[in-house]
Amino acid sequence: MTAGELHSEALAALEAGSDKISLRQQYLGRSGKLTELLRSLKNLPEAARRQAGAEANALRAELEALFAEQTAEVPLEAGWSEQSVVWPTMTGHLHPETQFMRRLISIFQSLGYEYASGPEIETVEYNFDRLNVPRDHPARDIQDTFYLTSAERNETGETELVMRTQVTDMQIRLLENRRPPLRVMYPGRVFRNEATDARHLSSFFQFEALVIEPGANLRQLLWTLNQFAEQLIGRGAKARFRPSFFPFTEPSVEVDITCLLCQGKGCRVCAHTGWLESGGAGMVHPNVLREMQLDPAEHVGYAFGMGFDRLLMLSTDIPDIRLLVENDIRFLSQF
Amino acid sequence: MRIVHEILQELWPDVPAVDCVADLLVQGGVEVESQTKIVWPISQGQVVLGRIETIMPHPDADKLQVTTVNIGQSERLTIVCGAKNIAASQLVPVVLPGTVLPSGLEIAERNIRGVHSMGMLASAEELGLGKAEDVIFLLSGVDRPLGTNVAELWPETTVFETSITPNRGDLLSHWGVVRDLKLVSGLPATAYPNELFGNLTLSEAKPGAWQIDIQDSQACSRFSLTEFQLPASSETPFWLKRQLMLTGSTLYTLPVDVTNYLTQLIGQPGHVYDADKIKGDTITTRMTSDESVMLLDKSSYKLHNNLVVADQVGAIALAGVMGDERTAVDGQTTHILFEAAHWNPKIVRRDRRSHGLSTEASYRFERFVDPELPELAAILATRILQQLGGKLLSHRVAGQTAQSVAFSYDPTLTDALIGEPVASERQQAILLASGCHVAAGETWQITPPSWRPDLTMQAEVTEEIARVVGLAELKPEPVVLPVRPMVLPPELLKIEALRDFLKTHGLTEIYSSPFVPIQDLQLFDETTDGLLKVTNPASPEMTWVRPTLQYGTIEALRRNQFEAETLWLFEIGHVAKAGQGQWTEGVSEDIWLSIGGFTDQPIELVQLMKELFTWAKMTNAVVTEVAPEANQIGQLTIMHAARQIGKLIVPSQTWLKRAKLKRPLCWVNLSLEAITAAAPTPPLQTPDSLAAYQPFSRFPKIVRDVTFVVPQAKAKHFEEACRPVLANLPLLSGFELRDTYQANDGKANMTLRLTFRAADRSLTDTEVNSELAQVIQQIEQLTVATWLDRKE
Repeated sequence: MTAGELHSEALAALEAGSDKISLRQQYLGRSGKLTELLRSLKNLPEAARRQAGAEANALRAELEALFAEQTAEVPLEAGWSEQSVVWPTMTGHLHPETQFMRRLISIFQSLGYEYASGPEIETVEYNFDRLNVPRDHPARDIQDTFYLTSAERNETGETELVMRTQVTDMQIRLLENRRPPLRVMYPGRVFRNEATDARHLSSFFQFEALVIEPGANLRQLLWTLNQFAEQLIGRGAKARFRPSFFPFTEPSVEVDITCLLCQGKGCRVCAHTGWLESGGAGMVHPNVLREMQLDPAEHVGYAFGMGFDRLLMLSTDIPDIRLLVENDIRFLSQF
Repeated sequence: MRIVHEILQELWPDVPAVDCVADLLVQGGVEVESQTKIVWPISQGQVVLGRIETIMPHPDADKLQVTTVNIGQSERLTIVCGAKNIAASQLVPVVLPGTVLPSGLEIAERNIRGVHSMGMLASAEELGLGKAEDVIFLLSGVDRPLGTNVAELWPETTVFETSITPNRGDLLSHWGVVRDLKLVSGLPATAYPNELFGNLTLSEAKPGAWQIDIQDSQACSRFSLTEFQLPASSETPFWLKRQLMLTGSTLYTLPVDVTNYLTQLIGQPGHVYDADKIKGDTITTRMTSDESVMLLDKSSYKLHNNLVVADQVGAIALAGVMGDERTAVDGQTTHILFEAAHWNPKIVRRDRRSHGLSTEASYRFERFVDPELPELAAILATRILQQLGGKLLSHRVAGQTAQSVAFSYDPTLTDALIGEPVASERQQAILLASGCHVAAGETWQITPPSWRPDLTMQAEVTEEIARVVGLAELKPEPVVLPVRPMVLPPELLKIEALRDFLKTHGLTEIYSSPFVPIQDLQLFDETTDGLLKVTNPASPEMTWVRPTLQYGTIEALRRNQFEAETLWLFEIGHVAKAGQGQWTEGVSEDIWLSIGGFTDQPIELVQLMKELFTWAKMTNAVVTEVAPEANQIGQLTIMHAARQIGKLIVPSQTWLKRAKLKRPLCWVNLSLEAITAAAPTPPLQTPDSLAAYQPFSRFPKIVRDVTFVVPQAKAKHFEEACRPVLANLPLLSGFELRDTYQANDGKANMTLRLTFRAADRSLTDTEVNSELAQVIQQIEQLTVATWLDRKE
C-alpha cells in the first residue's frame, strides 16, 4: 500500500467511527501499517526512496496529529455513578504491622493497660525539652531527627517542629488530661533521619508503655516484661535487664528478651547468647515526673519502649525491613 | 573503644579471665560488641630478633640498601632492604627464609640485583600485626638475646570492642574500666593507680618561660603545659608500640605516641606542640572572632566563635579536637610542649560538629574528662619520657578544678524504687567503693568523685546501687492485674473494624512513606502551599510531609500493576498540613483513608463506598458527580452531614500515561473522622500467630492460559485436584481458575491461568513451553481431565 492509499483508508476508518486508540495502534504502532511502510522503504532505489519517504513522513505527522486529538479525554457520561454493580469477590490482607500491633495491644490489654495514640508531628518541647533531653543531646542532631520548617524558631535556632523520634512524647500528653494511677500503652510510627538499608528505615514502628501507680518498682517492671515475653514468644520466655542510660528514665535499663528464633537456646541471630536486645526501660525520671506536674516525692512510675519491626521480622522470618514498606503484593498477600 | 585484656592486667594483676571480664563489663553497663583473640599471625617459618650492624648502598639500585644483620649466630646475614628508617645498631624483626607471611608471600634466599639476600626486614603490616606506615617495624628497647623468636614478644591476648552509654565518659580508658570492673566485682576502687605516677610531683619543676592565659574559665577550667627536651632521633619503644597497636591507634613519633598512650591508659587526651615553632611565650585559650587555621588533617578551617589554643600569631589548635599544622611535631622535633587540659564538653561538641570533625580527643572531651586528670597526665608523660632519655624543662598549670557538689540521699527511697531492701551498710559500702564521699546521718550527704559527673541526684545513686548489686539478680514481683481485660477505646476499635471491613471486601492494606517527593506533587497538580517541609531530608524523596495518602496508593498500584490481575489497596495513616488541628499548634494533622484499585469500571469503587457508608451507619453520606478537573475523566465529591469528607477520582488516559500506569484505575481519599463517627466497635480481631514469610522471585512472570475438558461431576473439585502439580514443577509459581464453560454434553471446559517464574532468572519461551507441556501431562494424569487442544 502506498502512503496515499493508507491516507484514504485511515480517514475512512476515522469517519466510520473506529476507536481512536486502536487506530493509532493499527497505523502508528510498532507493527502498524505506516510503520511497516516506512520500514520497507529501505529496499527502494535512491530517488524513489526519497520521494516515498517524504510522503510517508508527512502522512505520519498528519496521522499523529489526528490521533493525538482523538486521545483527548472523553469524560464519563453524566449519571455514571448511579448505575449499580456488584463489588467483586477477592481475598484481602491486613499488613503484617497491623496484625502484629494488634497482638501487642491484646497482650497489654490482658495486663490492664489502656490504649492511646497521638500525633506523628511533634513540637521540640514535647519531643525533647519536657522529656529531660538536654539542648546539646546527640539525639537532637539534625543527623538523627527530621526537623520541619515552621515560622517559629527557638533561641538555639532549632525549628520548633519535628517528626517525633519516639512515642515517649505521649507521657507528657497523657498526663495533661488526667492524674495517676494509670497503665497505658501507645504504639505508633516514629522517625529517624537514617539511610535506608536492610535493617534501618527512616520511619518505623514503636510501642511504649507507661505505669504510674503507688509502689511501682524495678521488680514489677521486670515481671511485666516477663509476662510480655511469655505471651509473645511462648512459655518460659523471659526478659533481663542490663544497665543503660536514657534521658527519660532513672534508673535506666536495657531490656533483652529470650530470642524469638531459638527460644533462648542460642543461634546466629542472637549471637549465640539466647537473648535479643529489644528496647529500653526504667523508672520515670524525676524531671519527667515534674513535667507531668507530679511530685517525684509522691509518685513513682516505670516505662518501657521497643521498636517492634524487628520483633515482627524475627517472628515471621522477614529478612529485610524494606519489605515492610515496599508494598509488594507478593509480600502482602502472604499475611 | 578497644579494651585490651593485657593492659587491664598491667593495671590490675589479678584481673579476671577474659570471659569473666566480658560478663562484668556487661553487668556494669558497657556493651561488648565483639571480643577478638590476638595471636602471633605467622604459623609457618620464623621471625627472629636481629640487630643491624652495617648498612651500605646497593651497588646496582639507588633505592635499596644492603645490611648485615646479627641474629645471635656467628654468621651475619646479608639482607637487602628498601626502607629508609633503618640505622646501624637498631633492633629489627628478621624474616628467615622459608617463612610464609600473612599475605601468602614466602620468603626465600634470593638474588636481588646481584646481591644475595638471606631474608627480609619486615614492617608491622607485612608481619600482619596491624595497619602501619610502610617502614621497618623497629623493636626498640627489647631486652632479649638476638635470635629470639619475635613470636615470643607478641603473646596472646584479647581485645574487647566496647561501647558506652553517653553518661559514662569515665569508661573510655583502660584505668576507668579497671576501676569499674573492681567496683562491680565488689572490690574498692582507687581513684588512680599511684604506682603509675611514682612519687613524682611536678610542682617543684621550674615554671620556665611559658605563660598561660585562660580567657574564659567556663570554656577551659584547667590547662597545663609541660616542656621537654628529647634525645635526637628517639624511637618509640616496642612495648608502647604494641599496646598502641592493640588499641587500634596509629603509630606516629615518640611524643605523639606517648600522648595517645595516655589517652588509652587513663583517659586524658593531650596534645604535643613543637616548642620551637610556637611564636611568643604566652599560650592563650580563647574564643575566636574570625580567623582560619590549617589543622593536622591538612585542611583549612574558618574559625568563627570557636574555642582555640593560640600563640602570639594565632590559633594552634581547635580546643579538644585537633592541633594545627604549623606547630606540629615531626620526625626531627626534640623540643616539645605537652598540653593537657579540661575543656567544656558542650563547647567541644559544638565546635567539632560545626566543622564536621570527630577525633579520639573530642569523643572523650564531649563525654566529660575528669578535671583532675590534666595534672596526672603531665606526671605520667614526664615519667615515661624521662625513662626514654627525655629531660623535663618546665611545667606550668593554670585554672581551678570545680569541686563536686554534694547532694542529699535517702537509702530507703532506693529500696522502694528497686522493690527490695538493700541494707544501708551495703549501700554505703558501694558508694564508698565507687569513690563517693558519704556523710551518713538522717539523710545522707553524697559527694561524688571527680570522674563521675553522672551522679548528681537521688535517682542516679539508686541506679548506681542497682547496677553494682546486679540487675541480673533482680527477682520479678507480680503486679496486681485487673479482673477483666482493659476496655479498648472506641476510636481504636472503629479504625480496626474498618480495616477488617476492607479486608473482608478483598482489599489489601499498605503502609507507605509519610513523605512525598516534589515530582509526585507535580504529577497530581498539587502545589506546596500549606505543606510542611522537612528541613533536613535524608533524600529528596522525603522533602514534604504528605498532605493526603493518594501518592502512596498510586505508587503501590504502579509497583504491582503487572503482578496482580485484580488489585485493590487501602491505607489508613496520618496526613498533615500547616493549619489548625487537634494536636499541635500550627499543624493540621489527621488520619485519612485512601483506597485505590485497577478497574475500567469506576462505578465499582462507588459501590464499595456505598457499602462502606452502610456499614459505618453514615446515613447522611452523599456522593455527587462534579465536573472533572484537568487530567480527570470523572470526579465525585463525598459529603457527609453537609461537609465534604473526601473525593473519588477517575484519572484520564493522559494522566495514567504520565504516571507510568498501564491500566485504568481510580481512587478515593476520605477523612476518617466521619467514617468512624458511628461505625461499629466489635472486639479487636487479633491473630494468634502470623504466617511465616516465603521469599518470592523478583523476576518477571510469564502467564499462560490452558483449557481442559472435565466431566461436570468432577468440575467442582478440579482446581483442588490440580494443586499437587505446584509442588512437582519448580517453574510453575501459581495457577487460578479463570473460566468455566458448561457444555451440553455433560462436560465442562475449564481454563486455568498458569504463572511461571524462576527465583534467579527471566524465563525463556522454550523453558516455559517445556514446563507447560509437563503441567498438562501431570494434570491429565492426576485428574480425569483432557487438554482441550489435544489432538485425539
